[in-house]
Amino acid sequence: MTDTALVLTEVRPRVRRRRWLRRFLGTGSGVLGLVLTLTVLVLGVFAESIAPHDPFRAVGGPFQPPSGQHSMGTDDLGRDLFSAVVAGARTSMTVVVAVSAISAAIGLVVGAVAGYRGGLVDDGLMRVTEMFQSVPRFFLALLVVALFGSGLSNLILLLGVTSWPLLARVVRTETLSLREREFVGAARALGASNARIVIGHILPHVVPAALVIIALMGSRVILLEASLSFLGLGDPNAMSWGLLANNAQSFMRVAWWMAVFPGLAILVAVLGLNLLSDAINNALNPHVRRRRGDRPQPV
Amino acid sequence: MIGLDANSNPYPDLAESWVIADGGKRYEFKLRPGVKWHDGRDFNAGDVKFTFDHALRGHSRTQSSMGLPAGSAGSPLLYIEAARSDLVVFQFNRPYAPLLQQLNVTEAPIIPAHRYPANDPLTNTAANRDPKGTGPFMLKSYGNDVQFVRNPNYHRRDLPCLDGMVERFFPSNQTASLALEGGELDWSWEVDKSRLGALRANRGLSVVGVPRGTGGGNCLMTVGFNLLASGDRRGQRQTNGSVIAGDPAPHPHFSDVRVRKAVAHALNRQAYLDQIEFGQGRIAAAPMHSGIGFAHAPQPTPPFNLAEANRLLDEAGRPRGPGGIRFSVDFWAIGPGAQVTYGNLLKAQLAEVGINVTVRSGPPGTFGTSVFVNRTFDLAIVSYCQGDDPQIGVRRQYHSTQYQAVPFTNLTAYRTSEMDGLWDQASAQVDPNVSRNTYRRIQEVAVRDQPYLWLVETEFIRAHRAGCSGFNYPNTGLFAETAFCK
Repeated sequence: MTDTALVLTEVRPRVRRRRWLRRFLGTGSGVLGLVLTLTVLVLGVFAESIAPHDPFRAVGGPFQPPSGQHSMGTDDLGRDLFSAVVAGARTSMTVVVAVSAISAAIGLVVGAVAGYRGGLVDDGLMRVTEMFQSVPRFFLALLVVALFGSGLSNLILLLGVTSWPLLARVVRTETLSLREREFVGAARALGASNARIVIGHILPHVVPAALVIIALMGSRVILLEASLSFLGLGDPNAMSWGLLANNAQSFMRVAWWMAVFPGLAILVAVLGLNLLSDAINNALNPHVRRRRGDRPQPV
Repeated sequence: MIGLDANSNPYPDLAESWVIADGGKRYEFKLRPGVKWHDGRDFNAGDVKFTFDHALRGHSRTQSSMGLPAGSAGSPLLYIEAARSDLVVFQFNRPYAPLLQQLNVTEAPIIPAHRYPANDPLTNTAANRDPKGTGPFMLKSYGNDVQFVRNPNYHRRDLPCLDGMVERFFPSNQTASLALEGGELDWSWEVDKSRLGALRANRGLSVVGVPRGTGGGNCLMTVGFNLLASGDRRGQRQTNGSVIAGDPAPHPHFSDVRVRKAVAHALNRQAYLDQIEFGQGRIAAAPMHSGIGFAHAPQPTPPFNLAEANRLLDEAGRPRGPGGIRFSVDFWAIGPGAQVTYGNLLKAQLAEVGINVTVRSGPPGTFGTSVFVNRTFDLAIVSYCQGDDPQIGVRRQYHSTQYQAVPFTNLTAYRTSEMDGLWDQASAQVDPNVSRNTYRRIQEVAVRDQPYLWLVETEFIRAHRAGCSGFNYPNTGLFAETAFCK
C-alpha cells in the first residue's frame, strides 16, 4: 500500500464539509433549529448586556403585566421577568455546555477505547456503560440534592457523569466499523501509534455522529434542570427557567406572564436543539441523502 | 389545662380552679373530676406532671422559660407534684409570672402517662402513632387523610356538635383555596394570600385573620445575625447539658453593631408585608409582638434609608469592592415556601447597598441542624412564635443560657449579663404593671444592640363555608369544639 492509496481511500471530513453544510442548511427545520439555538446562545453569552436589570433586584411594583417598561412583566417581588428569562438562558447554557463537555469527554474516550481495542476491554467498558445507563437519573438527582444541597455545580457534575452512556455506545459502534477500514490499516502500516490513529484518523469521522447525540443530550439536560428547579430542588441563587416556573406556580391565577415566558424559553431552547440534532442526523444519513437525490458519499 | 381568651386572660379548662400562693412561687391547680382519656382511662394529676417532666422539657418555649428539667442549674422551677389525683402543684424557687399563660392547649397539651410506661414520649413511636387525648374529637384513622370522630365522653356536655371531621392535605394554599371555592371543603387552614381580595368578596365564604395558630401564637418574622463566625460552636450548650469548650471567634461582619444597623436601614419592611404577606399582618414596631399587650413597647427601629445604610457600612470599614460588592453572606430559611421568598426579597434589598446574599434553604430538620446545631450561617430567618408572655417565646432569643444546640433557641448567640439580668428580673415580677417597665427596658436594649431584626407580625388566615359557624377563634387549639354546619 502506498501514500497515494491512503489519499484515495480516506476522504477527509474537511473536503466534504462545504457540501455537508449546504445539505444541512437546505432544510427549513435545520435553519430554524440553528436560529433558535443561536438565539438562546447569544442571550446566554451576552446576558449582562442584554438584560435591562439585575434579575434578583426589585425594580418595579409586584405583578406588573407586560408593558413597554417591563416587556415580560414583573414577578411577585417586583423583579423584571425579561431580565430573569435572559439570566435563565445563561444558567441553562452554562449547564448544557458544562454537562456536554464532561459527558463528551467521558463518552468519546470510553467509546473510542472500547471500539478500537475490542475484546475484554470492550466488554468491561460496556458493562460499566450499561450500569450507568440503568441508573434512573431523575431520582439520583433528587437524592444528590437531598444529601449535598442544591448547587449548580452539584447538578452539573451529576448530569455530566450520568449523561455519557448513549454517546459512548454510538462512538463505539462507529469506531468498530472504522477500525477495519483500509485507511486505518494504511496508517497502521505506516507505523502510526494507536493514539495517533484514534485521534487523527478515527475520531474526525466519529464527530458528526457524536454531535447528533450531544445536541439531543443538551435538550434533555435543559429539561432535567428545569424539572429539578421546578420542584424547588435547583440552585435558588442561579436564576433559571425552572425556578421561574416554580415561582409562577403560586400565582398562576394572578399573573399568567410569570408562567408563560419561562415556559416559552424552555420550549425555544429544547425545540432548537432537537431540530438541530435532527438536521445534523439527516445531513449525515446516507438514506435520507439518497432520497434527496444526492450521490452517496464514500464514508 | 386552662384556656386563654382573646386578651390572654385564663379561664378554666381541665383545671377547674387554681390558687396562687407565696407571692407567685406556688401554684395549685384543682383538676376537673370525671375527665376521661379517649381510651376510657381517668385523666389525673400524674398526667400533668408526666407531660412537663418528660415531654415539654424538649420544647424550646417551655424549657427556656421554666427551666425544665425541674431543679436544673438556673431553673426557677423546683418541682411539680401530683399532690392528689385531682391536685397538681408547681413550686418555684422565686416568684414566677408567666405560668398561667403557658398552660393552654397550644403551649402545654397534656398527654396520658399510662401510655408511656417507660417515660419515653419523645421516642415511643408505637404509642405516638395512636395518640389519645381528652379533647372533643378522637382520632379514627390516618393515611391520605386524617379522620376524627366525636368524643361521646367529652367533659363539656353536649359538645362537640359535629359528628366527625375529615382533614385533607393539599400541596399548596392555591389548590386548597380552589377546593374551598369549589365547595369541596367546609374549612381551610390558610388560603392563597395573593387572591385574598377575591376570597373575601366571595359571599359563600367567610375569611378570618387570626394572630394564633395551633403551633404557637403571636408569631413574628425575625431575621437573626450570627454574631459568631459561621460554623464556630465554641460556647454552645449541648442537649446533654455540656458546653463546647473555648472562646468563639466573632463574626467578621455582624459582630460590628454598625453593620447590623446598616442592614436594618437597608431593609424596606413594608415590602415584606405587601409582597409576601399581601398586607395580612403589620410591620413589627418592637421586638415583642403587639399581641402581648402589656409588654409590647414600640421602639424607634432603624427606618428604611439606603443613604444611611451606605454611610454606616463605609464608616464600619467595609467599602465597595469590584462589582460594587462590599461582602458576601449566607442567608438560611426553612423551605421551600414563603420564608425562602423573604430571603429572595432580602437578597434584592441588600444588593442595593452592596451586600451579596446567597439564599440557602432546607426542610425544618436540615434548617435546624445547619443553623442551630452546626451554626453554618450568617443570616437566618425564623418565625418566632412568642406566645402570650415574653418569657414564653422571646426570652429564648436573648438569654445566654438559651445559646443551645436546640432549634429555635438563641439564634444569634447574643449573650450579655445585662440582658440576662433583665429577663430574670422580669420573670419574677408577677404584677404586669411592674414587669411592663422591665420589658420596655429589654426592648430598648434589643434595639440598641440589634442582634435581631423584627420584620413583620404575621397573621394566619382561616376560611370557611358561610354555611358553617361556631369556630373558636383566635386563642384556642379547640377550633371546632363548638362548630356546626348547616
